[in-house]
Amino acid sequence: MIEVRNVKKAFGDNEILKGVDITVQKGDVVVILGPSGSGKTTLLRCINFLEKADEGQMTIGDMSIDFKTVKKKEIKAIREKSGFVFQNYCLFNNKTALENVMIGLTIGRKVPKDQARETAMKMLDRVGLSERYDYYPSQLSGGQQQRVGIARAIALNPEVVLFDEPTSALDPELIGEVLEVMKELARDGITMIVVTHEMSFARDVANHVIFMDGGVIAEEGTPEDIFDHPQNERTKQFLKRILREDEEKQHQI
Amino acid sequence: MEIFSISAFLESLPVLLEYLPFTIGILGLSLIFSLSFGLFFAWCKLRKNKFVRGLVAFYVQIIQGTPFIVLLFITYFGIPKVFSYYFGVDITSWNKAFYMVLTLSMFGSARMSEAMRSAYLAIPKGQMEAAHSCGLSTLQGFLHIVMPQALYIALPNLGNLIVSNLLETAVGFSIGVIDLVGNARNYNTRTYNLHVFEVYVALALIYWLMSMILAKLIGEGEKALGRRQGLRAFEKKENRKKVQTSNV
Repeated sequence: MIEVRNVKKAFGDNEILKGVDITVQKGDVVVILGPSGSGKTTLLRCINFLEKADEGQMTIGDMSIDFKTVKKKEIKAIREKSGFVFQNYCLFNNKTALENVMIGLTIGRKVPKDQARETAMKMLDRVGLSERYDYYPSQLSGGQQQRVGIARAIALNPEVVLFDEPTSALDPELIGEVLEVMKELARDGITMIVVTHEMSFARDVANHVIFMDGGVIAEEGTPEDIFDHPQNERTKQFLKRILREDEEKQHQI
Repeated sequence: MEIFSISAFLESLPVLLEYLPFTIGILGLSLIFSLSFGLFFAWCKLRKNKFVRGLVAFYVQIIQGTPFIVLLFITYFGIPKVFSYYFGVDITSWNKAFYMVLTLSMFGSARMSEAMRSAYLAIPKGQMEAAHSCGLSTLQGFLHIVMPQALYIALPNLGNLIVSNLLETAVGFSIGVIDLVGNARNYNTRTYNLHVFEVYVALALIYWLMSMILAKLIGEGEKALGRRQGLRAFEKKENRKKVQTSNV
């Protein structure tokens, strides 16, 4: 279980997160929606300490920390409990697909090489890329790179996998393969927090949807609550706009 | 009188080559210091601390804007003076090669720090973030992920600077270091300056060959690093084919 309490983060005078609380149960798929600049990505990055939050508390599994007083050791331990999937994949360019998945195990966790290799191959198999284990990122398509990115994140067997707009950088025809992998992970009971603009994914896969706006949670609930009976005026406007854009895209195709 | 005596040219070669190990030694030592201090300066220039950054940037700029021979004269004549004034130690008798290595290291490290810094900045921030999120420490991320990629980018520039360090060793004769050049001048004196032209052509040939070998080594290093990133241009043909067909 993950619990985040009252996270605040400002860049200079610009307050991005103004006190956000989220609770994620084991096996949950939580989707965070919201206009750009609402703080979705920053929230995710704070949970993984890619950004240092100014204030707040967090509990992951059996570990609790305070963002203000967190120590280096705790950061390392928390990172081991969470995997991160980047918007632009961020695969290690000087490592093959297999090495990308292995490195967190061998160097981060000191797992013996043979064992790490076996685990990594299993993970690549899970995202359907075991045949391309010896390809470098530059030899893979965007969708394939992102699937390796997902394999890399789940290889460490984290309590939660954080997805930061995992399909935003992809060509439309490659989005499907990545979403498919994510759906499968959800079915396998992997806990996920997903920032995305893919409404169909949010509707079909999420069991909890959070709508963020202006650094706070404006509304949250089940997908039905949010998509069919939104209460908040800003949620309604946002959904209307996104759905219209989706429709326009469909017309173009 | 012939314009170029082949026999004098051939005769001078083995005599000149006697001092090749000395020049290589100076180059080798200066490269060790240039590369390590260059890395240190590059690191300083990437610090958040404005004072450290400014100080190093200022130093590098001064060194970069000084001709090598002027820098050499300053260290050779200046440092012993400073030492005897402040510490009462006379170091004028120290081996001249010391001043040569010192100056070359200052000269090389300043320039190399720039090449290293820009290469480091060329690596996307996400690489280190991904390393962190995989549980690697900053040092581990640097050694395993960022440095190999940055080295690949820096290598062509570093290669040029390494060759320029080699060529600058030739200035050592001006403070009386007996290296390849000093030795060639002595040889000329011994042979009554009868074949100056031939001797210097032979000397040029030696430098030229060394530059070629260095450039070749650096090129091989670049290829090896490029292959480690799966860059197409450096792949063996059969591998390239594999990638193309399997992408279909």
